[in-house]
Amino acid sequence: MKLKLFFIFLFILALSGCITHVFVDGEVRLQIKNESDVSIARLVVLSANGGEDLWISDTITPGATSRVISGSWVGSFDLGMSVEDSLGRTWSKVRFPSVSLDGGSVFAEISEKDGEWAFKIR
Amino acid sequence: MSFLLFFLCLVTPTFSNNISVSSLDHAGEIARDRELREFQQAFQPGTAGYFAIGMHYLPFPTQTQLSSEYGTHDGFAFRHQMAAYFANPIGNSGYDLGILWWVERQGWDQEDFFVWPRYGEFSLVRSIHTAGATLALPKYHLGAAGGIQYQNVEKTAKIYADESDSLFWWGHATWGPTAVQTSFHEGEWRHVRVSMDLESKELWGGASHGWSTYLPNFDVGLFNGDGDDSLRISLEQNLWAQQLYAEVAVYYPEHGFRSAMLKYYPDASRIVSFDVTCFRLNNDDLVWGGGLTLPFLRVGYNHASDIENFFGSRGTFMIELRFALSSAKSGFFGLGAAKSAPMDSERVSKKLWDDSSKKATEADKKEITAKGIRREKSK
Repeated sequence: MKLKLFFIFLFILALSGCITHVFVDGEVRLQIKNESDVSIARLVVLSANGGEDLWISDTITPGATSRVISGSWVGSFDLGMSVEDSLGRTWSKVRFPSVSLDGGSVFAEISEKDGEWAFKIR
Repeated sequence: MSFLLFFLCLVTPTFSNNISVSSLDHAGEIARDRELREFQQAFQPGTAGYFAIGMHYLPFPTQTQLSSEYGTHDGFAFRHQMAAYFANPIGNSGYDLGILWWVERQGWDQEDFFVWPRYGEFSLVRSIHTAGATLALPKYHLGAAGGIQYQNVEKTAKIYADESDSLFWWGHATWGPTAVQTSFHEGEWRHVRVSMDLESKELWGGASHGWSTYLPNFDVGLFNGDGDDSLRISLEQNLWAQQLYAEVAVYYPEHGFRSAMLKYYPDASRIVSFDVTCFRLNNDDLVWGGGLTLPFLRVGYNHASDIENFFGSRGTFMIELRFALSSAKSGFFGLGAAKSAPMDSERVSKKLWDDSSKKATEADKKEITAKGIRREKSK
């Protein structure tokens, strides 16, 4: 009887090994909202060797939201973004280090206070 | 039991060490060598068969995270494996003819799976097949084998090194304690292995105890690769009654001492084992670990063979659902065992069968004489 239970347990273990993805999403569907007073654009994932991978190409005006774009970025990554200066003349780059992203739908708000940029997941 | 496993799975992911892209890049060549090394252990002239199947069970995407140039990716490293070798005597010639197939599907994927991977943007999925035929003359402890080894790259992403499908040819010869093995790719040799199993094993007609069971087993592999290390030397030494063994692996010329293991087998048939291991990392740090192998389950934590064979993964409990068994005329046993497993049930049933068959023949005799009498009367 004990052996039978053990085998049933093993079977459940084996099954659950391949159904976790029903609960755990392997991709992130990201939408960002610009809560700052200036326009933002080009959300990228930064690579350690200086490269970048474009995620959201939209230019987002103050108060607006981007399109929903899916990406395979489940984990922890450095994100980067271009922000316009208050006069609307030049673009500079902002870095959000080690942003933790779970799979599934993610809505993030990007805000600025005293020159400090924040990436908040709602 | 289930509570314990659940607890271990829950507690451990937070401390786990990430898998690097380069360890996944090199895992293919490690698997190639492991399959041929396993075959060398399984192919003793006189073996009737070997069958093994195994799958790592990792329930959490944070247990085997991948470290890439972009950051840390949640996901699942996987290693599904199977090995089958069967040999049969050819008539009364004394020769055994056999076939073999070793297969391992390994890599890293963003979702866990059993058959169909997700093939995500950062996935690596490859399989390595070793197939061939064997011919053995058990009476003289002679054997020869040969075949192909094929690597199939199903999916590779931009973060990994370029890799393509490749076909190796391999050959193997064994005589008594000595085995010689080699493999080729497009006319260029890839590895040469010489192994000497000097330890006397009762299973193969050796001594069951005494000084000859304390002789060492050597395995020397020379590799023609692009890596730093070209020589892998391993030594296995019986420490007590063919139940306690020490195993040491050394890589030359770059790394030197690689790993040491102390293995206790409650029975010399090696179906169950308790291990304490030590693995030396590239930065000279020592990682201590251990594990437990049961007929259908293996549990390990920082086990040296997991660090070497499961993409350098450590700091998390490894649970493998597995089964592996060799068979010969004398019974069943694990890879490299000195004796076959005690089969008490067989002995008991044989005795019962003998008793009942004796009674049956006595009864038959009586019946025959009775029939004879009846026939005389009818005449």
